[in-house]
Parts: sequence; structure tokens; C-alpha cells
Amino acid sequence: MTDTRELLRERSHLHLIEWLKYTAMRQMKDRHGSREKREAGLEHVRVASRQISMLLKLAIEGRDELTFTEVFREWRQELLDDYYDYDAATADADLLHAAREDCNRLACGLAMWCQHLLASATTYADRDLLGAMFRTAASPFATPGAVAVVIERALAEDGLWTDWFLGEMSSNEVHSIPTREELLRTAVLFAAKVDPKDPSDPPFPDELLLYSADDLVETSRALAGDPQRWSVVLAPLQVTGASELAGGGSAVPDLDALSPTDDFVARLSRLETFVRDAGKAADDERRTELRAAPLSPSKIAELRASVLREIRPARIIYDLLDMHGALTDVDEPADSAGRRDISNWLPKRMLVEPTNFVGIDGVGRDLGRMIRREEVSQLVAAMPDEDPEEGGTDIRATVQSVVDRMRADDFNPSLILMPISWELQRRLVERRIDQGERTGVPSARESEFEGLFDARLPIMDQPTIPSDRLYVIDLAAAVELRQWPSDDDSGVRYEIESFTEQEASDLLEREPQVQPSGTSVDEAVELLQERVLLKLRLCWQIERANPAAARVVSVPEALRRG
Amino acid sequence: MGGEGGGKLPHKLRLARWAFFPVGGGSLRRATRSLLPLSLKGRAIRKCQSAGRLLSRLGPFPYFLLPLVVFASCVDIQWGVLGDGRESEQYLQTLWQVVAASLALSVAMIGFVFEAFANATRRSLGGSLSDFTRATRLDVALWLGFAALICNGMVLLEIGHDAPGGWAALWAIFLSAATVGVALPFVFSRTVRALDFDYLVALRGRQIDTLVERAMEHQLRGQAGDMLLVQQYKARGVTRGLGVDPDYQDGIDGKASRVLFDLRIERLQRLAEPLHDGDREPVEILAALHDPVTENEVVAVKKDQGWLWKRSVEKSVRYRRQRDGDLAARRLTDELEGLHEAALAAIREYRAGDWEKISQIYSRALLAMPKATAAMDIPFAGAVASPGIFRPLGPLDRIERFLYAELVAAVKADDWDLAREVAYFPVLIAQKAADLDAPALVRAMLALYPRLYRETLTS
Repeated sequence: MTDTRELLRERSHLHLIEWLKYTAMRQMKDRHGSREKREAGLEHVRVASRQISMLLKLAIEGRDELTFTEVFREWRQELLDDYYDYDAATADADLLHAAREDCNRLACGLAMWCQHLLASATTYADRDLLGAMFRTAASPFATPGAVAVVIERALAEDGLWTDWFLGEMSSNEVHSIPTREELLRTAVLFAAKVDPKDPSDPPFPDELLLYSADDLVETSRALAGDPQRWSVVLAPLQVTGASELAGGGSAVPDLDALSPTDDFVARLSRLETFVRDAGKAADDERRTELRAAPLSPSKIAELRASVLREIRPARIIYDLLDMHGALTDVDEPADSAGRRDISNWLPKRMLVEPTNFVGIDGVGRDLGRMIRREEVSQLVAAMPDEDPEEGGTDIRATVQSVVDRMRADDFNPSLILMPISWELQRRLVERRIDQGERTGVPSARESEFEGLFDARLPIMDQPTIPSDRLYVIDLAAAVELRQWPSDDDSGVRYEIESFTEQEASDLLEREPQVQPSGTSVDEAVELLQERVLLKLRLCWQIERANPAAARVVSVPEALRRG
Repeated sequence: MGGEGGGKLPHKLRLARWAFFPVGGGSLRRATRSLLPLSLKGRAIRKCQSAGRLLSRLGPFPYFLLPLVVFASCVDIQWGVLGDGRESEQYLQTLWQVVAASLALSVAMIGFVFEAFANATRRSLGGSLSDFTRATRLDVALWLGFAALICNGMVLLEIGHDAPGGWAALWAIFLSAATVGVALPFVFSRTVRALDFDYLVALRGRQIDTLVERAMEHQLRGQAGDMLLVQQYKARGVTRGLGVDPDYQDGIDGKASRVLFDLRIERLQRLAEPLHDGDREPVEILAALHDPVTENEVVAVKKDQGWLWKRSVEKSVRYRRQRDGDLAARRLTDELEGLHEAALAAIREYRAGDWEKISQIYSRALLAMPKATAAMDIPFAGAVASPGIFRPLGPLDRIERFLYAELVAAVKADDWDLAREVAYFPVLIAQKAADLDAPALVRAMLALYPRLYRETLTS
């Protein structure tokens, strides 16, 4: 039985390595095959590497150091053999490079798994074994640069290890997946191992130094707090009584007899300072680069397209007034008072290249909401100034009476505009608008209305309506929307402005209110250079036409929200 | 898919027409065919296979039509014994006995072959006797012999053109000669070959190949239909679903012993679209094309719709009676399970040779999968290799599980040679799969090694 088991154990990795060597690698570097074939070979190398890494993970869990060391060595040898370098010079060096990068990333994952188990290892023998396997897995990363590269790749592509962690978790419970934290700890252990000195060659990718320096420092401190556990990543434990380890290690040896862990703690202490300095340096460098960077025309165009695309569907009042014939086209606004702007400060990094900023569409949607608020505000401002009619105890009857009186006065009420209030809505809305029903509402907008009053009068609520009143409006007669030419008929003219140092200083002088609170003038000048100002110049204005065509009804206290 | 007339009819009238005269209305099946076109060669093979299947379904019937050829009166033959009724009768009487003896010999030999097959089946290979008969074409020899006997009898009874001489006698002699000169040697040679275990292995391999081919084609067409439903038709209210949600939906039952043959998709969309409120699709199809259906629900529709509307939906789903080919996936599963059981028995009983033969069939089945999808220009990867949420395990998943169980059995069996064979099998397949550019198959095979390693640690 033992012989067969040994045979199968040996075969389980032998066949994988052989397949990698004689099938996948051969296909990837086959100079006589097509590029497509060689790319398929790379895919096969990746598949084999992944399965080898799965096997090594199991070896770590089974504390099978012999298999781990042997297979790890053979796997790396297949991918790093100089003979292939020679071949790669004439074939596709990028494929070989990609295969090695993948192998490095998987090795990093194995090191992460070792330290993950090390965190909960209870015996010294166990720690020693895991430490030895960690050192083997970390052996390819002997320089700060190599550590930074592999950590960056591992953070970008961590799905495999997430599966590993998920495999450990019990079902029917809430868990957080610790892949990122575990990778950060691995990065700190790698960094402690290479003991970086040169701030220009940090063992962490810039992203980590910029945005996760505090996490790195915190992790480093946590590791320093338990050096007996973690120092095995640098060197094996040295116990005077070797029999204590051989016996399973459950007995705790005298700590004084262990190898000193001061070196480990000292390295972590140096690393903490290094991270702080390198983080600040990276941040300064990034900000300097950002301030000097020109705006990317393609990003500007993308933002413009997104903003204009999101604005049009936001303009519900425009669509309503259009349907009721309350639009007037003019060449330009009657006076400068009619010109209104919506301004928004945006981070400049979203408009430079390369950028890691995502969410340009979100900016467009935010601006769309602002435009809608502006439309509703202007509509409310165009309502009559008269005192509202008392809603009374029966708001429904009051509104019905207002509607009847308006109709008697030859008006045709076409909208009830009300504040957001569930109670009020319950009293006034008779039913939802059926699809395709003729109610004086654009068919594409039906779902944006709360429903109908009196079977034909649409009701809309908006958060910007004062909570103490509602409006019954004959849109065709009460207001007029005057509009003049705009960009892509969106209703706005789009402008974006960035600032040089001089322009930022001038702006601060001209408009001191733009200086962020708690900053000095110099800091504010720098901050303004790291932002852009997006201005939307509104190309329309809603004006009052016939005040008698709109009525105001007060909303009883009990029906107001909150 | 073509348009559908009657757009100007009143709604109720249109529903009534769809409910009672369900013609036209688009075809999901055709849409999937345009997504997965077959090559010219593939289409030709398909036609031949269809003809073969038709012949096979008809059984002995076509052969019993052969004696009727004696009535053909267009040929006048008056030479040799055929010109003399008496001599011809004597000749046929002798020939009749020879044919009868040949037929008896054939029956005996076929019985012998069946016994050999039954032994092999018990031993390891699985498979049904009817499949075996069909694959070896032994039944053709029998039917031809019976046809010759009947034909001789008819001519001796002076039934047929110029019987017992002339054309009728010639035709009877021809059928008898075919029986004695072709069918009997054919049966003999097949009997000898069937005693060879390797031949039976190759025969089973070919049968499994065909099953895999059909199962993969059905799976792909079903998946293409699912994809169209989920991606293209969803916007108009028809999509693929998993089950009936009783709070929101009513179920429409299928028909027993049928397969889902087609959907009148354009009509379903016209029925669903007015009810589509952007929340949940009013019509959800609960089975894929070619899936066998039972009397369970096949369509889930929006709750509380009128009877006429529901009937129109029901009539937009087309079924077909189940045929052998429709159940390819199920039969393949059964066959593979049978093989797996035999493989486990071979491992437990230390019959390395038998396991090796079974592995040859596994190998053919595994490698037939990428070949079948390549015929439709689709790589064997992703959801094609491991079907998603709408389908149970695919054949690859099954064989992977079986192989793992066999690896575990090999660890426990403690047979050095057998263990080596079993452990080598996945890498052998992975190697061939790499040549076929089937990454999913490579992945599935190589993934067995870490699992084998774990087994050696824990067992």
C-alpha cells in the first residue's frame, strides 16, 4: 500500500512537470509553429502552472516540505532555464516573459498561503516547517524591485487565492475575504526579507505606497509584535534542544534559547520609516506630475460626451413643457441675468493619461441630477407669489375643488407638482399611469410620475419642492421656457478649465471663497492645480407667463414628510 | 424568422387565431441554426446519418418488400433453366433448402456472437444487445435470409411474373445467392471478429463517439437557444428561466415523452411585450431546445393572464415525440456510468488489462468532445465544456469525476502496475487535447493530479 501511495504521489507531480516541459513549453517556444499556436502554448503553460501551484498548496497544508521543495525547484527550473532564454531570443520573448510573470505571481500566492497558515501555527515545529516553505516560495524575490512587481501583479489578479480562502470558510455565515490583507502581510514579510535601503527602489508598488501606507505600517507593527512567530520567514528557529522539535514541538522551548529575533524587529522598524518616507515621496511625485500633466483630449471628449448624454434624459420638465407647447426658441438670452451656470470641481487625474480613475459616467449622472433640480427650482420660482390655499383636513377635496375652479376659469390643469411625502401621495394618487395611456405625459416618462389624480391629471413629486405646498399647473399657460442654442441640443454649453500655478493664484485672489478651509494659500494653489473646473452654462430659462394658470395649495402639517 | 401576418386584427381575434391555428410565428430553432451553421461536409454526413437512422427505425420492414419485386413484369427472361418452368422449380426447391440451412447456420452464429458480447458486457464494456446488433449489421443478414426464403416460397407457389420461371425465378435466385454468397460469409467474419475483445472495444468506442457527437450538438444548440433567449429576446419579454415562482407566475405543463423542438419566438415576443413592465419577463422558458420534457412545467408565465393568452403561449411551444437520438445526453450518461462501474470493478479485481481497454473508450469519448464542437467552429472551452446554470453536469464533468473516483480506487487497490496506468491516463489525454486546442479538457485532466496528490496524503 505504501509503495503504491508513494508511486502515485510521485506520479502526481511528475506527470504535471513532464507535461509542462514536453508539451506546453515545447508548444510555446516552437519556432516552426504559428504565433497562434505559441500563444495556445502559453495558455497551456499557465494551466499547468496553476495546477502545480494547487499541488504545492496542498503540500504546504500537508507540511510535505520535501515534495514542496522538489516540485517548486523543478517548476521554476523549467520556466527559468537559460536554454529557453536562448530560444526566446529567436521566438517570442513576450510569451516566455508572461509565463515567468505568471509563475512568479503563483509563487507569491504560495508564500502568502505559508504565512496564512503560519499565523495560526501553534507548535514550533510547525512554524519552522512553514517558515522553510515560505523561504523557498519567496526565494525568487531577492530584490526590492522584484518584490514590488510581483506584489502589484498579485494584487491585480487574486481570484485564485480568493477561491482558496472561500474553500476554508463555513457556509451559512457572513465572512470577509481576507485576500488583500494577507497579500499586504506577505508584501511586508517580503520587504523585511530584502530590507530595502534606497527610497528610489521601494519593495512596494506605488499604488500601495500612495493609498495603503498606513495599512503597511500597521501590518508591520503587528508582525513586530510577535517576532517569535514571524522571524522564521528570515531564518530557521535555532533551538538548543533539537529533540523538542523532533517530538512534534508541542513543548514550548525556553524562549531565551531561541535565535534572537532582534534582527527581524529591527528590519520591520526600518521598514516602517521607509514606508512613511517612500509613501510621502511617491505622493509628492504623483502630485507634481499631476499638476504638470496636460489634460488628455480623448478624456475630455469622453467626459463631455458622458455629461451631455446624461443631461438629456434628466430634463423631464423640458419634455413636459415641450409637449404642452410652452417652449420658445430665441437666439440669445434677453439679458445677462438670464445666464446661469452650474459649476463643479473635479479631480484632474480623471482627465490625464495614464489614469486609474473610473467613474466618468458617474460625473455625468451627478450633473444630470443637478440640472433636474435646477429645472424644478426654476419652475417653482415661476409659480405665483400668492398665499397658498389652505389644504384643510381633506386635501383631496381641496385639490379637486382647485382643479374644478381652474377648469371653470378656462384653464386646463396638466400637472400636479408636489413635495416628496408618502402620506400625501397616498391621498392624491388614484392609480398608476397605464402604458400608452394618453395623459399629457411623454410616453417614455410615464414611470417617472407617481400616478394620476382625477383619472387624467399626472402627479410628480420632486425633492426640491417646499414640503409645505403643492402646485396645480396648466403648463401651457402658466410658464414659458425660453431656450437658445446649446451644445448638441442638450440645453447646456460645456466648458472645462484647468489651472497653471499663476492662474490658480489669480483665481484665489479674485475669488477667495474657492480656497479650501484649513489650507494655506500655497497649499490651495497646489490643490487648485490638481483639479479642473467644469462649468455648464444653462441655455434656457423658465419664466412666469400667466400667474392665474397655476394655483398653490398648502400641505397640512400631518401630511408632510418627516 | 420572417414576419407574422394579422397585425391589424383585433387583439382578441389575433389571440384566438394563435391559440387555435398555430402556424408561422418565427422559429428559435432556425435562429440557432443560423448561429451554428454546419459545414457542407457536416450537412452531407448529417443526411446520411438521418437516412441510416430512418432505415434502422423501419427494422425488417424494407427487407420484406424485396420479395414483391417478383411482380415486376417489365423484364422477360426466357433463357436457361429460367425459360423452363419445371426445371426452374426443381432448381429453386434445392436452393430453398440451401438458403434455409444457411439461415439456420447464421442464426446459430449470431447466437454465438451474442453470447460473446454478453460475456464482454458482463466483464467490462457495457452496452445493449440492440445497439450491438445495429452496429454490427448482423440483423441485415438475417432479414435478407428471411426475404430470400419468402421469395423462393412465393415463386414455388407460382406467384410472380412468369413464376416459377422467368423474372420471378431470377429474382429469387438473386436473393438466395446474396444470402448464401454475401450474408453468410459476412456473419461468419463478424462472428470471428466479435470473439476478439479489441474489436468489441473499438465497436463500443464508435458507439460512444456517436453518442458524444449527438449529445454535444444538442447541448450546443440548446445553449445557443438559451443565449438568444437571455440576450436577444429578453428585451421583448421572453427569456430563459429556472422554475416557476408561484407568487408571480403560473406554469404551463409540457407533454410526456416529448422533446422541446422549437419556439414560435416572434409570436411569443408579441404576446409578452405588452405585459413587459421592465420588472420581470412575462414569459420564461424552463427547458432548452432538444431537452426531453415531461408533464412538468415547461413555460412560466405572468400570473393571472386570460385563458386565451395562455393557450396562445402554449401553442407557441412546439414538441416532438422523443426519438433515440434525442436522448443522446441521457444515454451517454448511462453508458459512461456503466463504464465507470466496470472500471471500478476492474481496479478492485486487479484487472489492469480490462481497465486499459475501458480507458480507451474514455479516451475516445473525451477526445470526441472537442472534435464535435470544432465541427461547428466552436472551441471546447468555458460554458461549452462545463455547462452553466441551466444544465446539469456535462459529459466532461462526469468523466472527470469518474476518473477521480478511479484514481482513489487505484490508491486503495495497492496494485503498482494498475496505479501507474491509471495515473498516466490524464496526462495522455491532456497531451492529445493540447493538439486539438481544447484548453478546458487540458485543464480538467491536469486538475486531477493535485487531487490525486491530496488523496495520497490522506488515504
